[in-house]
Amino acid sequence: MNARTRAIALATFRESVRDRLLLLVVVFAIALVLFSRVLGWLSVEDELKMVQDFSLTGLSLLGLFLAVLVGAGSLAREVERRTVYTALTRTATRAEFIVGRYAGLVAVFWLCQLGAAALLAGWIVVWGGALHGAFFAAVAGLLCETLVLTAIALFLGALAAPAIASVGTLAAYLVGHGTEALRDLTANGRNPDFAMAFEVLYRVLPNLESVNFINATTSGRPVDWGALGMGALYAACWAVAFLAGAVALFRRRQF
Amino acid sequence: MPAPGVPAWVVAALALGGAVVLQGPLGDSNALRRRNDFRYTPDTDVVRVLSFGHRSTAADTLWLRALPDFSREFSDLDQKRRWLSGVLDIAVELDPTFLTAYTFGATYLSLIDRRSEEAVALLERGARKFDEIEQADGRTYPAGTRVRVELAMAYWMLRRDRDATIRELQIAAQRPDCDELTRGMLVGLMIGDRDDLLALNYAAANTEHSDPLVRDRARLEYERTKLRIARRVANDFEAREGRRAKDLAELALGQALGDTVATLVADGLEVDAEGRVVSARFDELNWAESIRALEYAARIYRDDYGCWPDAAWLNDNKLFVARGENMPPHTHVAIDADGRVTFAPDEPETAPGDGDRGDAEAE
Repeated sequence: MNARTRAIALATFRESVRDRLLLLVVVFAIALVLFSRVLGWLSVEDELKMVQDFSLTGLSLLGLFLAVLVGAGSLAREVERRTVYTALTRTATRAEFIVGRYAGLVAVFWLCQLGAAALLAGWIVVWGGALHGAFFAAVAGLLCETLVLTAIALFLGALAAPAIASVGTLAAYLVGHGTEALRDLTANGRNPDFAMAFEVLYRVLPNLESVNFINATTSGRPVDWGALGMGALYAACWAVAFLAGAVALFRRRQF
Repeated sequence: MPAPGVPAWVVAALALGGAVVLQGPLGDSNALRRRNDFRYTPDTDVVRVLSFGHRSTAADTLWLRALPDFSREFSDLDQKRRWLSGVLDIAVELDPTFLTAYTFGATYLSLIDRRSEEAVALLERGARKFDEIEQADGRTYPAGTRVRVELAMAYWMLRRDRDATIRELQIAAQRPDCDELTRGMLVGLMIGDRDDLLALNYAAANTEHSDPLVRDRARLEYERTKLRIARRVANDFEAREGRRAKDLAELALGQALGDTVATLVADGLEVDAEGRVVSARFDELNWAESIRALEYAARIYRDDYGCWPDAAWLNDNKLFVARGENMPPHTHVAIDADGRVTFAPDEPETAPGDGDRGDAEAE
């Protein structure tokens, strides 16, 4: 990453940190983490299971909302405020601009998620729980998920209006988490009519389940770190693909 | 919009009043509606897709949604059964390690809904799921042991199936996280079946454990097992001879149990003056366990009431262990200012009239 990209990333980071929307989403995530204890009390047993499950799902939603509410409108905001002209009329290329924006957004999203994860870790310890490798694997998986979602948000932001980009990012999240379950519907010869279609969807769409380690967190099952590493690589591939697409679209854009 | 001339606050007050008045009949109607509430139980596959990867959270959500319904009255009982059976089915399908769904679900099905076979089936399903998971992961989980123990209890209480109970308890007892109570139940059943050597083997499992608490409890159970076997032989002797044996030699443990078991059992046992088989080692371990239980109870009391309980509370409470052979004879429970519990010797009883004489002398 060169100096110009770093400068754009830093500017994006500062701008996003000041965004009230970001603050609102972070407050929502923190509230969900704290509220999860109430859900634990409502349960008969497995109180910490409830805390971990709902909080980690909250962290996943935090990543989604940040991508949808902050990431998807990021490029449009730059154009609207005309700050994009300042950047592009200097020596920065469009590719550097997109990569810089992406790096800045990912940095601020990760900061929010890691902050919320640290709070959750403390919350679990306060209530007598212990942190195992599965918890850290789940958080690492969520960071990978954010990597992909932010790239999708930027790609769609370069392609369409912010509202459409937001809806598209939301859809990508749902589809990304749904294709594996859809494919499972056709396992063992069930629903043969849909088997081919679901298999194609499973292959060609980003599968966010590859980095989803939340379900294993509370069961105490061992973490397959190799699978997490491969999932991270898979997520990076998709992020690069969408980022490259965003650069290609942004290059063709007329201001 | 308020009509011209009518102040807006009057309109607001009227609207608010209307809402408050309507709340009464609406509340009644809502209660009736909830009573006849319809619960849609979705298909497991549908929930799996709609959980969008958060299967464990989806199971939690469904569980929390259904939890109040376990104790709620439904006008249509069949509907309630369908709904709760569906919830249990989906919850454990989405999260096969959801221990509460198995244990609470089985308790509800057997004790409240009186559907014992469904309770057993749910626990059997849990045991199968944990088997699959543990085989895949190459390790055991405490929740898996708990499901096995619950299943054994279900076989025992709901089916009266002694063989199945022993089978499940044997599986549970071979796991590293099996508690001494479960092992004790298995050992008890085996002693009843006169399977003494196996019973002693199971009881000896943790007698050399590195954790002193686990070790002490295991040794207590081992000594209890020896005592139970010897007392069974003593009971047989009394039934046969019409009197109690005077000593261990007269009991002829070797003849009754075989030399190997007799050697193991006789170690540290003796017959007292009343012809009862006793063990000083068992007493020592048992009293130490009683102290631990009483100190635990005292700590709970302090957490609840902010102070240590007095000795009278610990002595009087019938729930606690301070009675019978769980405490040394002629002692009572004492507790000091730090919550340390001991067995203190009883005061010698004063002869009747002593107090009166003292009072008279004082006068």
